[in-house]
Amino acid sequence: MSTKIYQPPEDIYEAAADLQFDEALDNEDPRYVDTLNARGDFKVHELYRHLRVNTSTKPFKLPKRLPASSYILFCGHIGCGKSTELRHAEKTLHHPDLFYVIFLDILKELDPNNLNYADVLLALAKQLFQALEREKIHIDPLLLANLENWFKERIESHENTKELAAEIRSEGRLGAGIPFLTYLFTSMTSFMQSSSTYKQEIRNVMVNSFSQFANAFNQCVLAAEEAIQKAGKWQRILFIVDGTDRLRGEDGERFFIKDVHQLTQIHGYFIYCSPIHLSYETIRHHHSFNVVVLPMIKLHDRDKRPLPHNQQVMREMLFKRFPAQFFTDPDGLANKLVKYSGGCPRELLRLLEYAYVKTDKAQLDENAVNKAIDSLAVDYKRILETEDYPLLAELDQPHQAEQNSKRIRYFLLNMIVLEYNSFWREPHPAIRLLPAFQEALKNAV
Amino acid sequence: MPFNLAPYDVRADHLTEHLTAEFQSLLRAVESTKGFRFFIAQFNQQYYRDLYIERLATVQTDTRRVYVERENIVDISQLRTHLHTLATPDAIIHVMELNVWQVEQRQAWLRTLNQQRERFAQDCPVVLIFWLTADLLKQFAVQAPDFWSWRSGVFDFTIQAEVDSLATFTTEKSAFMEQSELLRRQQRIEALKNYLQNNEVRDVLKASLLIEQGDLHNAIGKLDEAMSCFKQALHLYQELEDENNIAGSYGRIADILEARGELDEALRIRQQEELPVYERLGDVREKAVTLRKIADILQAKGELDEAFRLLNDEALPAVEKLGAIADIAVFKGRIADILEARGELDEALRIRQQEELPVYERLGDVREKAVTLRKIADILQAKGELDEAFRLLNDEALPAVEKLGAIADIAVFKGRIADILEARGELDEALRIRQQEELPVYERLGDVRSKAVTMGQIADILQARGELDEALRIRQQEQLPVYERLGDVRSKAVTMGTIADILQARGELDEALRIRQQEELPVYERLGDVRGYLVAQTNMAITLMQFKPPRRPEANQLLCEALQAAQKMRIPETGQIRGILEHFEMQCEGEENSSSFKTFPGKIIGRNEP
Repeated sequence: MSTKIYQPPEDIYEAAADLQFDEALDNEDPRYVDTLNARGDFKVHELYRHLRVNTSTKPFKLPKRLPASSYILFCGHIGCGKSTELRHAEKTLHHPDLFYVIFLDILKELDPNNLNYADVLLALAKQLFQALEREKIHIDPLLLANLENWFKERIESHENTKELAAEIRSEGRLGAGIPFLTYLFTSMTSFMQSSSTYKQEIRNVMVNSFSQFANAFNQCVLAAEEAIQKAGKWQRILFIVDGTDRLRGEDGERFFIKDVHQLTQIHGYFIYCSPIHLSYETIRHHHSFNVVVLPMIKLHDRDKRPLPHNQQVMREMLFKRFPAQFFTDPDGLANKLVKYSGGCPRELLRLLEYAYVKTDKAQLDENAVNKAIDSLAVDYKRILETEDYPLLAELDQPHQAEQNSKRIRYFLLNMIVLEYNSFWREPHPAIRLLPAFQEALKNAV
Repeated sequence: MPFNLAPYDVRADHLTEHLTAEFQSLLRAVESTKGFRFFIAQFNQQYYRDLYIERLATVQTDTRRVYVERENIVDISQLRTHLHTLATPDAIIHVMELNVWQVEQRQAWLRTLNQQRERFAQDCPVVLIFWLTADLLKQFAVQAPDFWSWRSGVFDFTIQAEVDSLATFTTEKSAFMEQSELLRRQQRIEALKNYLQNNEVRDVLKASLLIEQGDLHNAIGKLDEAMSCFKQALHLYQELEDENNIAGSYGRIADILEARGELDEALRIRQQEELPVYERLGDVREKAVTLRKIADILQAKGELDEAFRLLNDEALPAVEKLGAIADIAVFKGRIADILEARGELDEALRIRQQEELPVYERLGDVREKAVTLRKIADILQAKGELDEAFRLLNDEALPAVEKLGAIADIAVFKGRIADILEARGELDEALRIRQQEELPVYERLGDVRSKAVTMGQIADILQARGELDEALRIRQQEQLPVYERLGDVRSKAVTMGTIADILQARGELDEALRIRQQEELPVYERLGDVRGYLVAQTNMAITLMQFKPPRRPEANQLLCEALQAAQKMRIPETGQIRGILEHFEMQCEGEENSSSFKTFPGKIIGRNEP
């Protein structure tokens, strides 16, 4: 969420300085553009439906009887706007008739380069107890005792974590209750970030006592939900975990495939942000997850007919970042940039950045934009193998058969292929400029 | 009196609300004290008493606790002397368990207390907090009025909810018991029960608390109560249409049935109620775990091949695909169990040493590593390597669990050491361990089943020493009633078999035969316990051969049936039965005498374990 007050850029330099790729926009930010209507069949209601939100009423409501748990993988291409949409969802869903939303941004709270389920669950526990303390929610100590005991039995009595526990105890002013649990999980999360030794030891303890931790934590979540309902404040608790889509390689596979069972041992309502390629693997292994894919903005339909409204949404996004006065030919160049973005907001920002770098003038011109598109195409060329082009040409055919091979997942992860909705996928438009692709396309025809 | 009171934001403390104010007042009161100050804290639930003492300890580190009963303090003078030894300048001393002095003695000790008021103040220049129940507090005020008049405050930590006898302070249990895990579990059960009785909670929380209650009941051997909790939770989850938890509740019900030896019903539940849910939910891991548990039941029924197939061909590949190494190690451990039961000791040993142990070492899981070492020792013992088995247990596994302070594990491990000593013929030391180191732990934990099993092992030793009467008394009076109470029909049948062994040894052949025919065999048959059945058949054959004249044709038929079943199951008993046939110079159709088991031990060779 943007914390600074936005000022429109006065020159191209200020506009370029504002091209921050990792900044998810709050929907009150002047640069925010509602893109949901431009994402094909995707409706944000799909996400709400999985959470059993009744969207037919204003305000939205939750039905009286809800399933005990719901796990959603919210996935999409890198930079397609997941974080922005999750923050939008947080605002909508955090409502007395709906959920108390606990939002965990792992990029801020944890180290995404070395992350496992234990780190995430401890951070969620920290956020939960901080929220309960902040909201002055009362919970009978009886219902917190199992989690306190977990600490006593597993951390305080464990040979390798005794010292750490003593440090926590000496700093933790209170012996029990929500203040202590808040302090406990804040300390543990912080120790894990500051010391790799503690990180490993705490992870070991979590692995060895996971059932005990999960049962105790589940009881706390149930008790917290009971308390917030009784206090007439909210109905349920929803955990949103953003940033887990950044997990790569082994970390990603471990989190979303090997350890996915542990995530579902914690009962409740969860949305995890997931990389698009691992979402299919996860549901293959664990059907408890519902997958909601945030597709790219559709610039044309499956039969290549342009969709002017959607293109206009992208243009609007572009001009809010990089106003028209910084282009020699605003309409023409904007159309070109939008076309080669493939409907991905971050790709649009990237093209703007590349174009800015390619010129030394006060405005972006045709030459700079073309160079930017070429640069993007070369980026993709670097990660493609010769044998990939025929497959990409095949994917470029309209109404091609669904494929989900390992290589396709690689394409999706790296945005070589973009998914729009319902398995409609196309090669990234910049790739069309590569001679090898054009050659493969001729052969395919 | 200087106190290191750290900032304590009582507003932020989420205690049961009316207690918060009391605790705040108590904090304020002890903060301003100097020298002797006497406070009374009224309570009715030990759980909350301990909770607040602990909380006070977080702001006042020099907290001392005096437990009148467990420290065996018999009168007021002894109490005063003891308090004097603890009275360091900044201490707060909590005095508990004053109810130990029974009603009839109370008047006397209250009078003494009243008289010794000044001496208390002189000997104990500290903060004294007497924790009293309502009735005792009233007596205290009336019968020790002078002491009462020196009170600096009375704080009410009474939980308004109704409490029953277990939740209120009780002197029925021994002091040691109170400290034990058993009492902690009982208190937790009562606290949960009271909470549910006195609070309107959503069904989902209620079901979760019932499951916890059930687990606690199960842990202390109260299987009926556990079953009742699980059934109530199941009903709630069914109302909530919470499939995952429905399956989980069924799983717990099956666990209890299994513990009672009701293997067929447990198997039915696992196969028809649990497994389909996990299949429907696509929960690969839970499905694999359920398959593993089905394999456990099949193993208990003696269907080793099917158990092995299920584990090796279905459950293990599923968890291997998931890649969770701890799960893989557990599943491989189960395969090793079956191999061990089949007598394939070398392969079982290889799995334990090369595939289980390194995983637990890598994960830093000290307990599982120790358990695996214990199982390795079991195999070594079965291979006859008693000294190495003893070394492994005594020098490696036991110290590890002792370091963890897991008292139940320590008792189990010592029990295994006793097994080895028994096998080495060191019966006295084995008996000492069973009686002095194992049994008291199970008593403390309230683990009635383990206690009954240990009593059985004590009876085994007595029987081996020829003390048949005492062995018989233990079986009949200490073991059987427990299994009857638990509804554990299989263990009851096993115990009846051991009673028949003793009667046979005493020459009471008719009664021994009746037991085997009417109280052992039909039970194994009903439970579908093939191995149990064939062992019982073998033992019955031996009984028949003790008659004069021996009832040879019946015995021969039983042994051949048992041999056929054992061969089918590929279990080590095959060789033993062949040895018995050879000893009695008997043959079965299509069977040649080829056993290397030349020596008939002269007593029952097959053994069913409860």
